[in-house]
Amino acid sequence: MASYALGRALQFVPTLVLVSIVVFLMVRAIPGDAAHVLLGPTAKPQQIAALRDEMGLDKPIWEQYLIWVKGIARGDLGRSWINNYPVAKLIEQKVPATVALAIGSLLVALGVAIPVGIISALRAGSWFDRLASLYNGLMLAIPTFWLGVLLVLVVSLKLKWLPPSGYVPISEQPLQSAKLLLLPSLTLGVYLSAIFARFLRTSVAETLRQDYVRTAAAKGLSDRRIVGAHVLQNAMIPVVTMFGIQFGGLLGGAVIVEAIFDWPGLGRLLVTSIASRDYAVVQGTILLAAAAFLVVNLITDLTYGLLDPRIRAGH
Amino acid sequence: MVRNTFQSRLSRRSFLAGTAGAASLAALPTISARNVVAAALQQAGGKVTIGQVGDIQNLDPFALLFLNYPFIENVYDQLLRLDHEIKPSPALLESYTISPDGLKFTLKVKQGIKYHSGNTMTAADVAANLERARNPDTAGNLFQNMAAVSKVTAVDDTTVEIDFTEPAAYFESALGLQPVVEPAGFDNLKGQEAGTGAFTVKEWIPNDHLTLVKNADYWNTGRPLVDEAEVKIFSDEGAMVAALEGGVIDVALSFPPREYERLKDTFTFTQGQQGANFYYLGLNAKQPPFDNKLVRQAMAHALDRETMVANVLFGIGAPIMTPFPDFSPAYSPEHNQMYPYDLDKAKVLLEEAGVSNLSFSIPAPSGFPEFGKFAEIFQADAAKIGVEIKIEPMDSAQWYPILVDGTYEATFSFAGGTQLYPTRISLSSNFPGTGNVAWPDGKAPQAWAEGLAEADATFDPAKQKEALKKAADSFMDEAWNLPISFRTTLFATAKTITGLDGGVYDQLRLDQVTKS
Repeated sequence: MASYALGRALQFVPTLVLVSIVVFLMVRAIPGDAAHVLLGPTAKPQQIAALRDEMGLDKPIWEQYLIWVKGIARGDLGRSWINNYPVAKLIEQKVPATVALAIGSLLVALGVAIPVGIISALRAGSWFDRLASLYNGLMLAIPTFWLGVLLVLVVSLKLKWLPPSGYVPISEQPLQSAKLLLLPSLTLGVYLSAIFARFLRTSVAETLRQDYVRTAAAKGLSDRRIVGAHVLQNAMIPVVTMFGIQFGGLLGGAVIVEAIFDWPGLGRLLVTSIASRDYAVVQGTILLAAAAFLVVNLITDLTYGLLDPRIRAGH
Repeated sequence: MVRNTFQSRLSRRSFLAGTAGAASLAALPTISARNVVAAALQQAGGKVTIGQVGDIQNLDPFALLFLNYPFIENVYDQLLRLDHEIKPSPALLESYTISPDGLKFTLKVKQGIKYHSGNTMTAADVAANLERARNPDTAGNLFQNMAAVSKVTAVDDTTVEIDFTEPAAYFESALGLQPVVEPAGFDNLKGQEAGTGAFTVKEWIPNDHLTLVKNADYWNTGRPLVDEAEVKIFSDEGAMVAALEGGVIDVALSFPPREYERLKDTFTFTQGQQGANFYYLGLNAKQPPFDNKLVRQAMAHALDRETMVANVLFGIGAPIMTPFPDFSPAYSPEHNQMYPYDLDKAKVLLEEAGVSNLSFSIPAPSGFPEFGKFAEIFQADAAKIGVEIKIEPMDSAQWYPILVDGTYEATFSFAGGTQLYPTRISLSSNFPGTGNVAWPDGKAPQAWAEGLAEADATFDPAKQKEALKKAADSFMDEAWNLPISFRTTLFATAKTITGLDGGVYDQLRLDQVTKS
């Protein structure tokens, strides 16, 4: 297992190099640059030229790339071209909010999806299964931004149960932090719950048809034992895969939900930086998000081994 | 209720006549009188929370960007403070005089002003800041104000002399925009303030918030009235409005006009400075078809300004044809009626110009959604007279170079500065007399260029008016930038907030704000 993990980790290097090149070239392919954004529409050409020179935008692309990569090799992601903040610090400031939202959303998603998916599969065709199917369809069809705005209007502004927006770290004010996390987590979580519930229902239903489940039933094991010990463990593998993909994606930021709830996460940072052509921040954020995605997927793959002895044994 | 803060103003003309004739001492109200008022107003502190859509770019007050307006006059002080009548009151200057030939300003610097670092501001510091504004690498948006300055000298501990190559009548208002930064902090202004203002920066987390705290040693005793101010950054207007409704913020800057009608009784609304900015359609006279004046005039008649104001700006604004507000010495009521919406007239002008199958494109930058909506209205009207307009969506960073470099065919945009002094309209790249990106070789119509230069070169109100008429007549006749409406900034505040002031260019002034 350890050598497998090490091998996978080493594969990260070429992937991240490729990501860095693609990101570096793509952000520069977008028309406009930070000098224009920073000086605004009243800038004089000589001012724009001076700022471009200061930012190094006049250097050849390959030279700009090498400067950036050398910085990364030293553990330095560079500084924002707009506000001169160290990129690593900017990202560090956004990571707690991003992780909190990712975890909150997945807790909501799994809290709904696990019971709904399992019961739907065990009682296929029942009224519960049909209701769950309706829920899944509805949650997948409703646009996230619409649900978010609706929750703000009803829960915050009409009923005044929860604040409409904002973020405080859980370490500073745990209760207020939880209150602020609830609506954005619900907005993202119910959508994800529909995805997970569908996967889980299909997976459980398929596992229930396996010979070893029939054998377990023939041996006289209780339904609870069969589902708990034999079905779920095997049925969870595709769900874990989907969980890994979604969690990795959430670590890259949830742009729309962050905008609706004024959530200071990586998604907002990334969009703002793209809009202002703050290349250093865009590159650093995407590189970090890619690295996080790879790590989460590695952990996901390693989890397969814990769930399935056949994978653990290398079959 | 919308309250216009620009009421019963003095005209620029009467101000100049009263203070700055050929050789004048600008007698400013004494600071002690202001302090009495401040002390009377003083209330318990508290914290005010302000919402803004879009992130603060840096802590450099020379970067006069909309997004930086929350801190510019709160963390820093300017040499003069301009009220909504463009009347100066003392800030970091005690007084100033102008030489009879208009070629020298002598500034008397106030003594005992402390930076937030605890160091004392000197006349040499003021001179260093003026020099910084002369350097294109560091001047930010103040560079244009210094074009005629030839030398800045700190002659003693309290006096700074500014020499000019030619008279610059606009320079008095420029003193109201000129901040003073502690020179030791010049190199770190992207992330660290070095001001003298009513507030100091406690914390700045980009893309999240800026927290200001009261400067206990502020020279203007008794100000500010609140202990703390936090600027929260939003990326969505709807989220900012919801935060105001939910009590998360007390003040919403640049409140979206579409929400005004629904919330006008819930919050207090204040309009920003009249004439601070205006929307216009810019036509590029460097290339066909807009190198033909008749075609440009036809477009002026094809603009349905009333529909644009009603449907796009939700009535927050007023249709205009001249860029100068009615208190400006360059204003003419005739100009404001020159190009009524008249598609028949537009069609006739196009026929006179011998132009048919006219087709051009207009960018629609995402950061200014109103431009795209203006373009849709214009597109529908233009189609009625056989003109095809293609609307090209793009993001703002893509649009800025198109505007600044003058590579558009036509573009909606906004400009400003006319409230300070009419010639300040020339700060935007397609307005100046020379170096104008919308005209071949940068040369705008001669009468326009001469009128602007002559208005800058005299302190005599009668001569200024005459020169400005020459410029404005040319501007209207040549019709390369077609005004649509003033761009009125709305400030929405909770009923608990009083004393909020959007300054002369809609920047935020918090020193008199109280929260009950």
